Amino acid sequence: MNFEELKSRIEEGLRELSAEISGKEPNVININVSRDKIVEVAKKLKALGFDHVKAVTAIDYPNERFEVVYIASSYSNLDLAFFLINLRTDLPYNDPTTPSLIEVWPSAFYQEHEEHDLMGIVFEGHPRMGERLLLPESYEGLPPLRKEFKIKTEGINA
Amino acid sequence: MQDLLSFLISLLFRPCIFIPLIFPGLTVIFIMLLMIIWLERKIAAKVQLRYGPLYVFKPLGGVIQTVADLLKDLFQEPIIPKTVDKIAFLLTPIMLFGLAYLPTVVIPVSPTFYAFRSDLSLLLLLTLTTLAPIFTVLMGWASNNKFSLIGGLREGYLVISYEIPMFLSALSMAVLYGSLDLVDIAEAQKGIWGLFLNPVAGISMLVLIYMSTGKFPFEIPEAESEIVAGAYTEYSGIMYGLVMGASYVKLYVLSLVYAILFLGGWNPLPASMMDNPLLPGAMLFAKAFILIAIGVFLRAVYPRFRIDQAMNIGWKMALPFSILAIFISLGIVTITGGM
Amino acid sequence: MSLEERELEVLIGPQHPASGHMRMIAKIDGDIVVELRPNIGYVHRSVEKLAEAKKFLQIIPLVERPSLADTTANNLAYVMALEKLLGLEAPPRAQYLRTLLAEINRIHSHLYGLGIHGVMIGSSTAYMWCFGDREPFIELAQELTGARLSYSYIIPGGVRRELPSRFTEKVEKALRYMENRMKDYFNLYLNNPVTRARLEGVGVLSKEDAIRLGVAGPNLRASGVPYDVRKVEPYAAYPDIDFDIITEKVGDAFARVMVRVKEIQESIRIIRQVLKKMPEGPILHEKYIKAISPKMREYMKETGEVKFPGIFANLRIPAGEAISRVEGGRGEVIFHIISDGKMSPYRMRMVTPSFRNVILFEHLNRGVRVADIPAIYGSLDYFPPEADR
Repeated sequence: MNFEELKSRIEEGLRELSAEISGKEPNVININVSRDKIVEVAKKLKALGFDHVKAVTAIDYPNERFEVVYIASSYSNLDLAFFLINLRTDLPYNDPTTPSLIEVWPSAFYQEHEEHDLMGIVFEGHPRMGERLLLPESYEGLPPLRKEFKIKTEGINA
Repeated sequence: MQDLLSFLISLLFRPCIFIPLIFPGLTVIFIMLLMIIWLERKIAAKVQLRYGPLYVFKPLGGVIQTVADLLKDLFQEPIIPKTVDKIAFLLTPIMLFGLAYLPTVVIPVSPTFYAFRSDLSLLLLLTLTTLAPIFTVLMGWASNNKFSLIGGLREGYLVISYEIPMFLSALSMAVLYGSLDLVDIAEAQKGIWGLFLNPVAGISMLVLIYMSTGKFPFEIPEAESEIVAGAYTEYSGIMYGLVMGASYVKLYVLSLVYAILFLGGWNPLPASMMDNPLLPGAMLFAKAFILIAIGVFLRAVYPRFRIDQAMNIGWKMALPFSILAIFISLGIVTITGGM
Repeated sequence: MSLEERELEVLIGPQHPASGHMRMIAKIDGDIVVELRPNIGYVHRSVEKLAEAKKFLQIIPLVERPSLADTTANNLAYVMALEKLLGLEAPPRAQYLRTLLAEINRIHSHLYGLGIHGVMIGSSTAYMWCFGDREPFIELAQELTGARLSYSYIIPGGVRRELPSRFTEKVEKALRYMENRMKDYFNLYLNNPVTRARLEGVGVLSKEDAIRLGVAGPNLRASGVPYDVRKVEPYAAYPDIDFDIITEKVGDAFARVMVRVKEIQESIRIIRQVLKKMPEGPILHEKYIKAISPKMREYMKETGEVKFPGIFANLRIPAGEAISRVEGGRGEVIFHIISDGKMSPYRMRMVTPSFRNVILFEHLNRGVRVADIPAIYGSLDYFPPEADR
């Protein structure tokens, strides 16, 4: 399967879901979708054979938006394994909540939990929201991966 | 002065003093402990392409490393956690070591040299060895630590699975020789050793000895990577030294029993050498020591079994084999009309 | 605890001989584990946040630190992401040298995993042997890169050092030693009846579950999924190399061990090919060689050590986004870098194989016996600092 074929197949599959699809050669396909459609899109992608999530990245654009990127790919269909689907959704800065995709992709379980812990994104439906994963239980304050959270640097490059 | 000295020496060589204090009693136990722990580390190191203990007295390969360890243990602060049951916590190591040591008084050193002789000495000895595990279980409870508790329970489960077949294997030899007296049993092996007459009993008893003393692959009650140190988790310093020593002492006692039951005891020494207890004693000790050395060598070969697998070995393999051993003994007795 | 309660909660770690830098909260009923929750984060060092405050070249040692036994994978994946953004490719000889180091690293990373697993089920001999036999490979890597574990060998556009003289013979000697040792491993450890009894049928991960949970690396291949980044999206010199993806069908702890053992043998095969096919040429992209002063270029030619061009100090990466993946010893490493054209990444996401395998602790430890916890833990080759990052 080549890149264009896959892209058109995904476009066809997601036609009714108002997803913005753009490709980046050779193997990355970006799918932008609003957060209320994300679960459906993920289900469609899973039906197409993208069966696991490799990474969940949350990006902070201060006072503008958050972006959550699910990097999905396939283990069961090795033709698809070459391609990385970036399922992206934008969240308003004052309300960083999005439905959790662990029902569709259980492989996102710990990744979503980490982004919740470190970036403060709330994944609705994830059973461990409010619990700490990597930070100490007693941690209070800004999620450390937010841009507002400044780290002190020292040495010649400070 | 001279008289006093010779009196003391003759006193020392009285069986009722020599046996508990010298051999097979305290003195030899102490030397054996220091030697065997060093040897264990050295053998494992050899297999694992390491040096092992080396720097404490280098000309002899670090042989007194264990003495250094003992000194360290002696001067270490004995930490008693606040939450333990103090009396049980402090008493159990002493009871454990004492009970492991106690059976040595029953062991005869030569046909004429024994602390006391009884028609039931084998039975008495086996009974005494069964008392110690109770204190391991108690220790696991007294430590008030979940790993200790699990370790104590594991010991309990193991005891019930090795004890019955071990007794049956030992008693099959009593059937074979028609006696429960250890002196009689050893003397009956002047010709063929028990191991060759009833190999089934011999092998099953040997495996069960290693199982009962927590040697690999049955090092289950104190499995380090699973439950830290099992029942011994909360012990430190000399208390830990005692409990660790106890399992070696138990191995030593059971090896002596094994040497008497299956390896001919002090045989094949000629009768003329039996006057002095030292020679037959050395013979007995050498046989037991080889068994101990094999036991500690297994550490370098095997990983450890899971508790259910060890219990399966006890109930499903050792028990049928030990029953078979009794029938073999009965068969031999019927054919030959008694040894 | 009252007598009526059946379940006992046992906290395994972080101060436990076999827990590593993590805690496992196990609920046990008798000898059966009802539920086990991994509690990670004890060695979290916030690599992703620190990266945002460091320059691109400074991040190379930073990303290596978490997975100390398997540093090349992180190094390579990070540099590949930068190269994607820079739009350049390392010259062929550098690609071969990268592959060479990656495979040497894979061998000693697998030996590390096998050794730790050995001592977890009680075989101190397996532990000592594996750790002893890592040494020849660490020495090889040291000779190639100058460091024992954290190599920082791979830099944007190439590698840091030329192949040392007579390196091929030394490698061959180490490989032959390892092949002979493999027989001992089988005789004493892998074919030991006790090892088999402890590992076979324990912690079975079905193919469906492995895919569903997004497991990575040898743990995935042990469940019968032939996924290996080196074949799926070939990088470095792997397109030219002939090798097989090792898979096992059963998915139990023993299958995971066997995948590692066979991958060591496969790596030996790869290293031999790499050394045979190694092309001549520069080890740094010509764009950067041009940026080095002629005097330094002379020095580079003499010693075989790359002198960093001045632009490396304040390397700017064009704005954009790149995802790179590399098959390390423990599995697939993912780097997702978002750059805004400055001297530090705007956001760097680093997903390590151990982090993706954390989920297996919960999944595999349901209904097993207490003694199986370390047997399963070890079989995953899980490395807490790598998961916590």
